Amino acid sequence: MTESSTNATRNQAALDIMAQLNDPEWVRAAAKLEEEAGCDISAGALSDHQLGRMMSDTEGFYQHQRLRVLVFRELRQLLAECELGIGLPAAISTGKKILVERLRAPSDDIQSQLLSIVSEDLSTPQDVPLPDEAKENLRRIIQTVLQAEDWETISSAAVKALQHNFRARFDLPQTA
Amino acid sequence: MSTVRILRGVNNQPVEAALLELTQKHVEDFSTQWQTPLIQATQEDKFWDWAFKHRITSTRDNYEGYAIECEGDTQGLMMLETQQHRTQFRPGRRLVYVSALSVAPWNRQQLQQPPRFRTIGTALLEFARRRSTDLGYEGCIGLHALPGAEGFYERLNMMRFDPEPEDIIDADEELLPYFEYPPRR
Repeated sequence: MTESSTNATRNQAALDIMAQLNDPEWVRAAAKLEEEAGCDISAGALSDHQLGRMMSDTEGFYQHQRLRVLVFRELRQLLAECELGIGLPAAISTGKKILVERLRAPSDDIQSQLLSIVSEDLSTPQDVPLPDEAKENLRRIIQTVLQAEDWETISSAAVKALQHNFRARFDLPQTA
Repeated sequence: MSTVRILRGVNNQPVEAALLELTQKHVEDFSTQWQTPLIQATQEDKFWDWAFKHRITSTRDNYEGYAIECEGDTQGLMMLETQQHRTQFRPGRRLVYVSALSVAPWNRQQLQQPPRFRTIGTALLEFARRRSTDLGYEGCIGLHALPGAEGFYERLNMMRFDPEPEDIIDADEELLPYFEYPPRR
């Protein structure tokens, strides 16, 4: 398709939407749908304090967001490999909280390794996975910053979830 | 400015309304007319800072702000992000993200029956699809529904995406379902 035909198609689609917005039948159908839904229709997630952070440091904001995704994803993968079954979500949730605390003030060495990983990730297309070497590095970092007692806490969370499920399944009294 | 049709709630008769770029007047209408009833009704968007959003849409190329006005009052508000969000269903493709969409308290059927006007939110949403079409994103739009609003987006047959727990990067988003309109065919 040539650029001019693409533009023509695009313009026509935009005109169609505006025509639709003035079509009494479409408006009635839209009103019916709103009426049937019978609820609020507000939308929006990025709260104003986050917008402020993004405005003041766009690059830093996206690096930080992306780094959290990468670290949490690798933590999940590590825990999934432990075959925790029904205890996995509780382990992930607990692990994320601890990891956030442990990474609040990381050593210079860990900081520079994390920055290098996120830079590598941001320089590749979004649908290309993290290279194996960077992935391994990330795993090492997680295993370094999480201490023995952290792993104990994470495994306890998984065990508790499993016990809770077991008791619910067999109608046993739940304990604290 | 564009003209859109909305319905008067009391008799379901079509009324012409103006769809405009967000201005200071709309921000003032939010704080002087909307905010008190929104607070009284404990609506989720009661403390949204539209003055701040207006500043962003006036200074950043990738943000746009719109309002629907009718009979001199602001009836709905919307803020769009047009460059940095990508669809969850087609890797790498951009979409228009609805950063904020809100209708006046008197147009919310759960707060007032009949509402003063109907279809304000739907009209804003369709306009977001129009912007997506203009930008070459084939009408794809994405949004996070506020609590209590997901039933509406499900009825529109928007696609729901529940991220993996490790992909949730913000505590607010953890509670909000994400919806996308696929490309227009």
